Amino acid sequence: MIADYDRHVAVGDYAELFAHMSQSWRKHFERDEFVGSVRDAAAHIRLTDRFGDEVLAGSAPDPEIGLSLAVPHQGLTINGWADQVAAKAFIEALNSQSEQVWADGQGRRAAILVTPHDPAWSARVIREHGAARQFAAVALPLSPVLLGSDQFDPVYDAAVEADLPLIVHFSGVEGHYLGAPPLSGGVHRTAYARAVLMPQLAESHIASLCFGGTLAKFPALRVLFSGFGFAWLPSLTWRLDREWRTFRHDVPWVLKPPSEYVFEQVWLSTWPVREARAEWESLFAGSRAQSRVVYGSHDPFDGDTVADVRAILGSSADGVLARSDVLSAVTTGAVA
Amino acid sequence: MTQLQAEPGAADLADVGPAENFPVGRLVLIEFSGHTIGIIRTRHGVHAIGNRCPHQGGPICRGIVTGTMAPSAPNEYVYEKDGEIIRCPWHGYEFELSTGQSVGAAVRGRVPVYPAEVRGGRVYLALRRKPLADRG
Repeated sequence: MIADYDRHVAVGDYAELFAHMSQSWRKHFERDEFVGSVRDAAAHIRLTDRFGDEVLAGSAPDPEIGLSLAVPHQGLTINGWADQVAAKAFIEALNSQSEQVWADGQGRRAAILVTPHDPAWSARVIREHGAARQFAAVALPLSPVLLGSDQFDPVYDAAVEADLPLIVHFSGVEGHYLGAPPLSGGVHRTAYARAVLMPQLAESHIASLCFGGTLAKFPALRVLFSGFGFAWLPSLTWRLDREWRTFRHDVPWVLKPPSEYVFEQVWLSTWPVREARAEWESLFAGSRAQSRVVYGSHDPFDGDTVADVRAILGSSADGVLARSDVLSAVTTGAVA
Repeated sequence: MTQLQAEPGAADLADVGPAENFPVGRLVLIEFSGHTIGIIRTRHGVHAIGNRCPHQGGPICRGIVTGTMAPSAPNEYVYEKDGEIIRCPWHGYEFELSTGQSVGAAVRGRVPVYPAEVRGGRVYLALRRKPLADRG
């Protein structure tokens, strides 16, 4: 079975979410600054005119794909919302939409959306939805607080308890909106400059999860960084280990080389697979880093097909495409 | 730096000088049978190590003698083994003076450790690697 861990879903009009809100919240959101913001938000993170006002229809899933994990990317943008009270109502509406529309509990699953700005609330949301067959992961947008901070422990506790992996995917407003994490160097003028630099975020948060002791503290926690590429992983793990050897006494809660934690608890999705054309054979062949890579199409945003992955990764592509250990045994067992 | 020659003895231990030449807590370098050896007396005994870090061959005897942080819960520090650890001056890697082993298994390989003892007010040393089981 091939699983696509990065298939995006979205509403074409935010008014579609009113059916999943209380009357009071519906009345709050019935204003153009919200309903119209589906276009405004897209304009702020849009990379090309191909991604216009209309929601792109996803391509038909490859018949080889037995499970696709829906990431409602509009919900990820709440990391840059000023009104975090409204943000919670918004992502709960999206979770309801996932449960009732986008996921079927079989081959179509979704990620539970939570917020990094209220970990206690997010833990409750995970416990509320975690047992539903429609959900197979938790999507935690990024904030300026690094994931190795213990303020996220309630989220990790709940994810482990529900046996759901954590998915980290950029929302597109990082490096741009207050509330979302900055990118290093400064504030770039354009969406395409920011898009180029998104892998910084994954590297930074993986380092934090290691050195902050999160992965040691939660050995059953599984984290998938999706959409950030993966060609950089071998150099990152080498650098993590090198610094740990020198400064182990400063992080005595990191009980083994950080790469060991990464190779057991962290995964990366393939998109954009083409960036690894040169590195795959030279840096990944025979390396444990190869075992961390899973397929993510990123469809419909300039996505990679199964054929693309096979073309770039060659003879080892099928191993990547078949990898499902990031998911719970319950999820994979229900689909297989 | 003291120049000494090994003398065959009952237990192949050679007298390398009076104990007062090796103040407690201070690593003293000697040349012994063509090898540079660092000798340090601690509260727990006397240790003798070779002057080579297993990582990249750094002059480990020029490192600081210190303690280290025990494995702990996140954000908690538990200092232990004060005076029983040496930290390589090149990359900061830590090794147990008594065994030569890397603290936390951070580095492969060990610092050479030689049998040493204080007897009758004098320090004795043998130029053979201590089996791991005998170290402690």
